[in-house]
Amino acid sequence: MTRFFDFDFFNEVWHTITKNRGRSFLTAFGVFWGILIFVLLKGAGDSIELKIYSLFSDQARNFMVVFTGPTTEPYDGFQSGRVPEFHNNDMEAIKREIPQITTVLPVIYSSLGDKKLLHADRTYDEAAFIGIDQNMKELNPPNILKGRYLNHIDVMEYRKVCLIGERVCNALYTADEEPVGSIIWIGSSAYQVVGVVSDKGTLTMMLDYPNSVLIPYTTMQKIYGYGDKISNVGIALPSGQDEVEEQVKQVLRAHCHVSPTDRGGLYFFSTKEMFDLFSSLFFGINFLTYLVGIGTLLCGMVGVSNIMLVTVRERTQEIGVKRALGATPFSIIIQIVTESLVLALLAGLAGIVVGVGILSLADFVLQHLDLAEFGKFQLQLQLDSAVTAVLIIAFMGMAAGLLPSFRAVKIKAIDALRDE
Amino acid sequence: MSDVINLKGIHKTYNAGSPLHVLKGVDLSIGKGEFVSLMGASGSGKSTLLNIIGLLDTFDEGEYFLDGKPIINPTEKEAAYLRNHFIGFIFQSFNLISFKNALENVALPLYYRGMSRKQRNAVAMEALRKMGLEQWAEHLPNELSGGQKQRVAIARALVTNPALVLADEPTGALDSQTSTDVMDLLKDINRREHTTMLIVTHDHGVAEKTDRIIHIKDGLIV
Repeated sequence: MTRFFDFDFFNEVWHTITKNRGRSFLTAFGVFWGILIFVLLKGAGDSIELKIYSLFSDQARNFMVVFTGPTTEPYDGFQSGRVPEFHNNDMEAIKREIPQITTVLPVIYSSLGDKKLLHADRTYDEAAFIGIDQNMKELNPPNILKGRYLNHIDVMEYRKVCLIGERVCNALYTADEEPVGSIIWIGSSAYQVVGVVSDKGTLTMMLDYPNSVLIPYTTMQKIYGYGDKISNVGIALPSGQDEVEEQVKQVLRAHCHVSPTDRGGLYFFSTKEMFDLFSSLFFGINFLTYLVGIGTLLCGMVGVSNIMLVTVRERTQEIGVKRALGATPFSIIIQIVTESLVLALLAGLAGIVVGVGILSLADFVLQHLDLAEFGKFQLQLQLDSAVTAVLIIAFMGMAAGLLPSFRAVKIKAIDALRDE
Repeated sequence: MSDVINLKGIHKTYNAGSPLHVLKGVDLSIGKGEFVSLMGASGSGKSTLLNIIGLLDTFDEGEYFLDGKPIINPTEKEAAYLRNHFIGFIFQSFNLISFKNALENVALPLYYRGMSRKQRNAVAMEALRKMGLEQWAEHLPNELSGGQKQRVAIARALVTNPALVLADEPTGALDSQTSTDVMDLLKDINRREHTTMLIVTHDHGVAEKTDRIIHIKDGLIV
């Protein structure tokens, strides 16, 4: 039995690769490039995927957001094109008619309009103005930097209190001023600041907390003339009960006079649906990454295979002599495949190292850019992706060596004797 | 005396385009310890015969006993094993592996036997010493003279203690003085170690150094 874990064996493999440095380098470059492209694509894809899924992971509960839009079918005496409205009693109805649902979050998207947001002599007119209630803590938790959440007393008593976002706070307050407990003016009304919030980086009802002023929705309805109207609602769904989701849709459609078959009117967006959407998106990204990465790599591997064929031809005499001295066909196959494998692995590992290097560099730059609204984002290759890359190289390296090795086996010792 | 080579009615036809009947029933026996040369003009079939004896080629008809063992359609793997264990080859153009030094070249057949590196290098060094080449062990073939190369090749052929050494024009690439030296060396080895040797040549001077000359003509021993 021929020994393969032998110094001379690897010495020979190494010699063959380094004998023609320029050629080996150019061949290896094809593989290197393929892996580099794969690592960069996969690294970027992995990082975005990780970021998006981390948004879901903080979300303790499955929830659904309901938006309104123009209806597309006439129903219940209403013409199509009407935009349904939510009212306070709709929230009550949901809780009453579907006992599994205990938490409903009302949201009113208002705007400052020409109302001036003022503290001391500083103003800030870019803030979103939002009415909400204490359930934000459960459904859409912000990061509380200072102070407290809105509570149900604030909501019930129409208190003029507010939470301000971090960016709003930075615009209105100097570093040594204490925002909590202070008064800010929104137009002609004074509000007491009870807390400062920022984004938790979770996937939410698309509230931009750092840039918002949040007051109890009841206060907003009363002062700014919303009556009992609500912009949209968030509903906490019990986990593992998909039928509840359907019930919510039915109840809300009935209350808002929207046809059960209408694709407009009400838009339901649950975390589960979002998750599924992202899942299929990432499946697509991954598929493309593998297609492009492996496609490029395949070109590199064809190069390796081609060079190995040339090498085998050049070494006809050597292989023939070895056969005469007792080399088995298998030992010749192993030799050629190992050469191909080593070449591919060296090039591939270099590709992974350089790729990870480039990702780290890009990550370093990203960390030093101000990407506040993007949240924390890390650009890196996942370990399992790196392992996959190595396995792909190993497999392709061996595959690239097979055809040339079969060619090598066909060389008979006689050919070596005749080759003069 | 038992025969190292025993051929009976060996036929070989090549089918390259039109069939070419190269060997037309060769009978040949070479006994243990014999020092024999095989002569023939080009096209006589001597290379084909050498390839068949050396298990580098197959034959169509007839019987072949190598060191008493019948050779019946061996697979590539079996042929490799038999070559490695029973036959030492010496080639006209030395056929040393250019990137291996003298010692590694001599050790190569032992590598294919699965011998450890330490052990095979020790055995190979002993074989080089017998050729007076131990101080050249670390040298690459292109640093050696023609005669030295052929002595390395001889050491490589002998390192496995083969039953038979096949030499194909061993002096073909050497000048006359070196040729004489190499032939003297082979003869000396034959005398001391009783190694059976079959030397294929077209050079009468070389053939005359051997104990028996076999002539082949038109595919038959004459």
